[in-house]
Amino acid sequence: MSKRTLVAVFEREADLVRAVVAVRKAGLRIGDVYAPYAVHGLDRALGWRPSRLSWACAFSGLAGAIFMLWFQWWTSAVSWPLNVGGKPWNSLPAFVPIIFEGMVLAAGLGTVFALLVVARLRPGKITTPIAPGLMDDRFALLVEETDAAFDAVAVSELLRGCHAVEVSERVLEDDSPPLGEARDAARTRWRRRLNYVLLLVLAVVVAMNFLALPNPSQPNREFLPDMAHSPAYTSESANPNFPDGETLQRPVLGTLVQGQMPLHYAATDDEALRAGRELHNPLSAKDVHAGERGALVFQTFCTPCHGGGGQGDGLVALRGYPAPPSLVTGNTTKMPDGQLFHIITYGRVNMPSQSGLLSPHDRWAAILHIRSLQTPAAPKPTGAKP
Amino acid sequence: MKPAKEERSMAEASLVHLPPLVVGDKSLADVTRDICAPMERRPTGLWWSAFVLSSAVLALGVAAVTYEIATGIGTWGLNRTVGWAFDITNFVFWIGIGHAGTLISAILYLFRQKWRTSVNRSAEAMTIFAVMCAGLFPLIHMGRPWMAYWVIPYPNYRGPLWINFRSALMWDVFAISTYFIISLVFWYVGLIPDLATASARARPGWRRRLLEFFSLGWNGSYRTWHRYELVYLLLAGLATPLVVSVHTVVSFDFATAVLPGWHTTLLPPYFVAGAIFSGMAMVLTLMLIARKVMGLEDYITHRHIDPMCKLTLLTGSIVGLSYIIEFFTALYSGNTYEQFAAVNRLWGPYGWCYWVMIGCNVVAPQLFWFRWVRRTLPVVFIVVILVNVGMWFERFVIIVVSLHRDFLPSSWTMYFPTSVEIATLAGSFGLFFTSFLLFCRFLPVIAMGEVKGVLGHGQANSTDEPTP
Repeated sequence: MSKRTLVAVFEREADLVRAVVAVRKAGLRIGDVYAPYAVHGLDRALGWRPSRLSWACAFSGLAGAIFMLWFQWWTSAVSWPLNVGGKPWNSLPAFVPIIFEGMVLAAGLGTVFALLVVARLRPGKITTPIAPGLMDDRFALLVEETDAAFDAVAVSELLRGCHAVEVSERVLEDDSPPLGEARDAARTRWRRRLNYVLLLVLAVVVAMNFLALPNPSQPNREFLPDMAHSPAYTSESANPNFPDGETLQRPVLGTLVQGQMPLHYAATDDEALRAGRELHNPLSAKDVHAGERGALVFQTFCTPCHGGGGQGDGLVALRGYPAPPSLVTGNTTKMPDGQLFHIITYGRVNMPSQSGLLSPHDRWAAILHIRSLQTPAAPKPTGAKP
Repeated sequence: MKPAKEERSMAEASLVHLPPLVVGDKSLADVTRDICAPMERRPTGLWWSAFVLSSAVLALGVAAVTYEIATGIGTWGLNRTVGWAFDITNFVFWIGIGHAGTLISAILYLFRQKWRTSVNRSAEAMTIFAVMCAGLFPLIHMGRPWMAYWVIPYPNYRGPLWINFRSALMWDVFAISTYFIISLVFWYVGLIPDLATASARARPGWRRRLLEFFSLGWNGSYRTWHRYELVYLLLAGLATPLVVSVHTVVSFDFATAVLPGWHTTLLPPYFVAGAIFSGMAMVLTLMLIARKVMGLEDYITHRHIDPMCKLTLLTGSIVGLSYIIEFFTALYSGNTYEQFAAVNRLWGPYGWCYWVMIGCNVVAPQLFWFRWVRRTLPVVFIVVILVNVGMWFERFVIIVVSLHRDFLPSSWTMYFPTSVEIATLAGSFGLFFTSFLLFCRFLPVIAMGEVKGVLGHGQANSTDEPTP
């Protein structure tokens, strides 16, 4: 069944409003009105109910607010509770600004989306003008022919009486688009083709994602530096910023090594005797850990010359290097700990200084081990190897 | 017809003292033709010279930012004491500019101020471009802007470790992104009918295709207008509290800190008033330029300039009052640090910035009390330029002058911007004006649908009779 509509075109807003009132008084049905701007008071003349889009606004705003309230609570108090300045996990007052912003964002976007849906507006929709100038300076009134009793001539006269500049009749078939809208077969076909191309591109991209699997044994491709490489000089690299050209600078003269006190002794025999009078082993013979450490130090640093038992029969001595005196007999047994410490630190005769190799603690521990070698009756510390 | 005649004469009587909003006795078709004209003809020489200038400045800014990102934040003059300076000053300055656009488009819409129709479109465009400029500064300040998405809460492989919603900086992210999106939507919704009008006039071609695509199939149906009007009202109702919340949240960046000069409850209202003040000045600056460059003298008249000058005067006076309250707070608090911060603003090493601010923001707008000043456009232009300068200095005073001398005298220091920072600020102006000029060229600068509604032609109380 086809549908007939009378289209009346007006040049003045007042004529349009007058025609709307007259048509309604005559009991006819108004299909729609077209205007280049929102005519003030026309909705009252048409008797249309206020739009229900305010509900869309209210609901989407409420949804946005509730979501942001829940989301902030869930992330801050449940998913990963983060202690910030001892504030409670659920610090509700601090969540208020974002709840508000979430509400406004959701309400605004939701309302506009609802408008686009109910008004059937969408990007790229094609329209045909019902009459020329409707987007510029003309107004149109559409009167629908509802039944057979509709007298098109009389209604036209009524509309012309309200200063309609043009009245025409449109016939709308069932399968044709509504008035003012159009179907463009060529453009639809073109769009469908574009859609297929985009779908193909999507499929190729997804397929490539599976073809090019990530290789966990290789670092990812680096397209932004992201601090992966330090611009700083490494300690052994050449450095043009220092006069000596080295990155790792020597400490200033007189700098103390952390944890080491300076020894105020000269490298002479007299000073060794003085050290023997003044220095005492801070470690106790009963200290099992120190004893074990001493055995290890002795085995590593002393056995090559002094031998495992301290008798001066180390491998170096056996190969012809002047043998050191025995540590377990004679003079050494009478030396006080402090003198031994001085000898280890500064060296004597053929023995070089060990201060660069052994920390003071290790030197004292080694002396503990020498004492244990000198008194074989005493039980040897466990773990000490010959 | 007698009652109608009486009604008409009453309506005339109420309008008798007001000159028309749009001069030149325009018909509806004239409005369409005049406003679409800049989009349809070739751009003028004036437009080209403005465009070349602003895009050159933009290119300078792009070069500065590229150098800064490639090298590091060390190219700025920041130090351990002054960690926020030019970047955050510019950020607050631009955000504030945006606020007047929303005031004109949303708040004045709710108050049914008909004069807003000629300026609301470009004021909204100004909002969008200003928020774009503002958003750039925190982004650049991140140092690694490609990591900017870390401020958005998304499920990640770090736990998921979420952002800290208790931070004022996080509120800022949400407030400004919401503000940008809602302003953009509001602007676009307002544009739809005008895009349809422009596309109906356009010659077939790619430009017509684009206009058609973005006009969403708008055909002037009153069923759509009916819903559209409600949606526009709802958006205005949403944007009004939003605009207040945005600068309030921006002020929280400072007010929630313990620094003297920042730590005060005055900051939110003071910031909002200052934002609208600076924005009004920027709208006036743009309007005065646009009506000359685009030849829109008939549409942007004294009926538009005059209320904007008055709003500038009002908000400027609120800002002046806030300056006084700040000193009262310092005095009345009995807090040595607060008092020192106040004195340091006046007589400290940056004292000259404070006096520039007072001169431009408090003294200069007082000229708008005089009617002849409001009607003499060159004077208006000078005053609003001064206000723009003054409001930039206000943010500089709040941020840098409060930071550079805090509780610990051993950390007191001075801050001086480097050439890179100055070039970045200039570049943001370049971006702003380039965007605005492109907008003037390619989109209807004035809301045709709204101006036609307030022309008064062919309405029940108008004088022109139809030809019989």
